[in-house]
Amino acid sequence: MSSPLEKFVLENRDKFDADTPDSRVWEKISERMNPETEKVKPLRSLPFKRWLAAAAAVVLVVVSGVLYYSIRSNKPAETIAGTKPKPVVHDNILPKTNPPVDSPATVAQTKPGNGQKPVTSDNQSVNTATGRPSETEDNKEMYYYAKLIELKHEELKTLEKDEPLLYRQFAGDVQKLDSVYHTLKTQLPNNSNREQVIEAMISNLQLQIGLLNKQLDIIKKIKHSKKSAYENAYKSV
Amino acid sequence: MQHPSFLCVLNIVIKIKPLELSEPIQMDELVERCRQRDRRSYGELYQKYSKAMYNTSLRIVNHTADAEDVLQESFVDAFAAIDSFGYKSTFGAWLKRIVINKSINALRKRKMDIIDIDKTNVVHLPEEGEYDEDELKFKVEEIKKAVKELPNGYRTVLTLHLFEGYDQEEIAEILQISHATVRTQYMRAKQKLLLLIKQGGLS
Repeated sequence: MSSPLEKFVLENRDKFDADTPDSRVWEKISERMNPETEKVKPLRSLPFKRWLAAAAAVVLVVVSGVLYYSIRSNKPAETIAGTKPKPVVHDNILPKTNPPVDSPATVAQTKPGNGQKPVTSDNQSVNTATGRPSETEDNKEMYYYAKLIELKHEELKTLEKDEPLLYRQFAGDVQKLDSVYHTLKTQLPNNSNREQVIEAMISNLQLQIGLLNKQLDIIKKIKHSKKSAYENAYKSV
Repeated sequence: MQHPSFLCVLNIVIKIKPLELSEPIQMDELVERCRQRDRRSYGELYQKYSKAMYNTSLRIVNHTADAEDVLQESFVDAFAAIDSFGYKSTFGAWLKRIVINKSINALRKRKMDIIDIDKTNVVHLPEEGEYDEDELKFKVEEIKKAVKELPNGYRTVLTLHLFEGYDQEEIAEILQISHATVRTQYMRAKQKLLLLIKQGGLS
């Protein structure tokens, strides 16, 4: 097919490409070629910020709640003492070195062993000394929670390598709770209402678990979004 | 305070891509530099090809804004998929194919359906008479103007052969129509073009 028309076009082919595109076309292209620096940040930081805010809110609520509880339980000890079946109670749990005494003053002195973080084995030996079932239950409960917390900590630790910053923040949050736990623990010997302090300690441990769970959840989400972001970036190529 | 560096980690992960180890027959240096994600080479590549690609698209879509959109989309896609360019043709031919496909899609999206025109016109098209090409003195501007006046279906087939140099089989594949249709469409398109040129020249 080579008519005069076709011959003419072939010979003058360059002249047919005379139109020029608008310079904005290249601007738009180069903008889109560089999406990592401009677009990704707002896209990704938004949900991330939200997670951080959620974690912060959880921590705030938890810490203030626990503090409030511990402060309150400090002053009106007598009023609540009678309400629960478990009163000041059992020095049997204490290490045998301390002779059982009933007066609150001595209880205060003897208590530190009990107040320790229940992971330790001396706690169990204390348990075997047996007192009222309720106290042993508390100890068991605390031991159980502490163990669970330990496990979650380990799980969280695996994150340290990938996201050191996030890990540090999470660990900081948990530490805050833990320090509350420890202040509770130190209060325990001086507090006339041990019952309440122990309860606060248990709920603190529960909160720690809840927080750790939330953190692990967040990590899972981040990993997931990272993966899908990666896949998306890949797919578009 | 902490998330920016976290994002950096994220970005690095996204950027890492496995390199394709193929052995190209004849390496295009500019293309290779683009494969290294060299920003300046992207610009050079655009400078080198944008005008031809723009005109190719413009002849098909017949609309400057659409042609510019096609151009933009084509380069973005081409840069993104540059690793998959395998030197089976020149880079220009590879890119042109992207441009043409996008132009045809833009045209279809806008209104017309090439096949519809084909079906209705193949049989009942009134004869427009033979125009002796030798009698006509061609001028670039006149041809360009006449091409713009062609119906979409004709213009697409004509431009793909006359300006882009695709043969009938390639056009049939691009447009998903039969060879015979391409042939008749081209013949009729050319007749119409010659008529328009003649009319344009007379007026």
